[in-house]
Amino acid sequence: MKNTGLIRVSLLTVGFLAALIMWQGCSEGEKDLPTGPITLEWWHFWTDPDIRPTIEQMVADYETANPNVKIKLTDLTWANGHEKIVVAFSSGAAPDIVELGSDWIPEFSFNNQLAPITAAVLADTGAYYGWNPTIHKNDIYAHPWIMGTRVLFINRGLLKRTALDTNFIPLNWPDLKKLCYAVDSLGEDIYGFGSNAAEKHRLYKKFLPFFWSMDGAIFGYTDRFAGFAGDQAYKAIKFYKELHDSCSLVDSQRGLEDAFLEGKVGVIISGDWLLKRIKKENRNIEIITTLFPGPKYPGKSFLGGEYLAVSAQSPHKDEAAKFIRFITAPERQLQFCRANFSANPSSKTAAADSFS
Amino acid sequence: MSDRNLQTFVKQINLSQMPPADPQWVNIEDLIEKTLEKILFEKAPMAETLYETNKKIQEYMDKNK
Repeated sequence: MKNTGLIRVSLLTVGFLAALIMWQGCSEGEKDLPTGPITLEWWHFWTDPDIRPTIEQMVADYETANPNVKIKLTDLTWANGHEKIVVAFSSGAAPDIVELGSDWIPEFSFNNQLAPITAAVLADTGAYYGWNPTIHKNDIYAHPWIMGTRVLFINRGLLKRTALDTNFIPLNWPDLKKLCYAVDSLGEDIYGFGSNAAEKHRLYKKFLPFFWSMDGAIFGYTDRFAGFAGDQAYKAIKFYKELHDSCSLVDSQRGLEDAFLEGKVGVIISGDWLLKRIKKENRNIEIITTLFPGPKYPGKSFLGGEYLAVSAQSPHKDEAAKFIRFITAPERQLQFCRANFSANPSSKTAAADSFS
Repeated sequence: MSDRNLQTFVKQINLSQMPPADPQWVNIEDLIEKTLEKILFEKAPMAETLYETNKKIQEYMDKNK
């Protein structure tokens, strides 16, 4: 009797477990394919009236194609966006999708605050720039969206007034110094170089290209030894300081760009937003843009970018990853770059397109 | 991309570098900015200031070793 009872209990247990597994299987399936409408909250930084309508249009297009999904947009500002994201993650109130600057991704991925999206984006890896900051422990935690680099802007009107060739391009640091000194000597109120004042998140981006052009490394990835006190850092800061002390206007980035556009500065380091400004303000200025020079040609510039990531707290991770792939698709990047006059889409297909 | 200036940016992206992908980067960035401010605006000695910064960067590195 005891054995029969035991068998009966075992059969009941097996039956219960089978039912549980089937129920769990259904639950997993339902998670992947939501039956009712869901809302994905997206925190982003594109509040500029030039680009915001394009963001809204892309969201509307996604909602039309996916009637079960609504996207709730929340605007962030660069002044306090990072702090808001940190607080949201630590208080359990993170959005489903968040735009992150390239510098911030490891801060969140290393702390398990982002969801891995490797399976959803693996097919994209060869077709986009900028995956390095997204990888942690063999998983991908964000998708590159819009990249941003800096180049040299030369006021050609000022260059033409110097004794240098009217097409002079600085190919190395001695050339850059020669150009800046030549422009600086044009008059008391004309400066050769635009040197950044102490502005958070800006000054270091102007110096690091000089350091990297010397093949400097802030630290080694494998040995994790800091390398900021070596010959490369010393020579880079010495050259930068020489320009700063001898022929520079020192101002905020906006102030330098104003002075450059007014013909008061010969050379500044800036991004594609300055091209947009020149076009938008219909500025009558002749400029040359050129690659960043190093001690020898070519140098290296600073690269950053905007990325989209899924929060580990999101109950709709698959849908969020699907939305990210939609927004970062080449056709949407072209739409974005045309509206924003952005020069560096992360999509290689979009970058190869003649969108301007 | 037909605009000559936009083309400069497309070429530059292949000759550009990102800061190290590290959770301590936000702190290291702050250290580097303060170092530049000291050297450029407060005339702090270059070699000594870089050396002090490097020590502090190493402290951050050691936290994640």
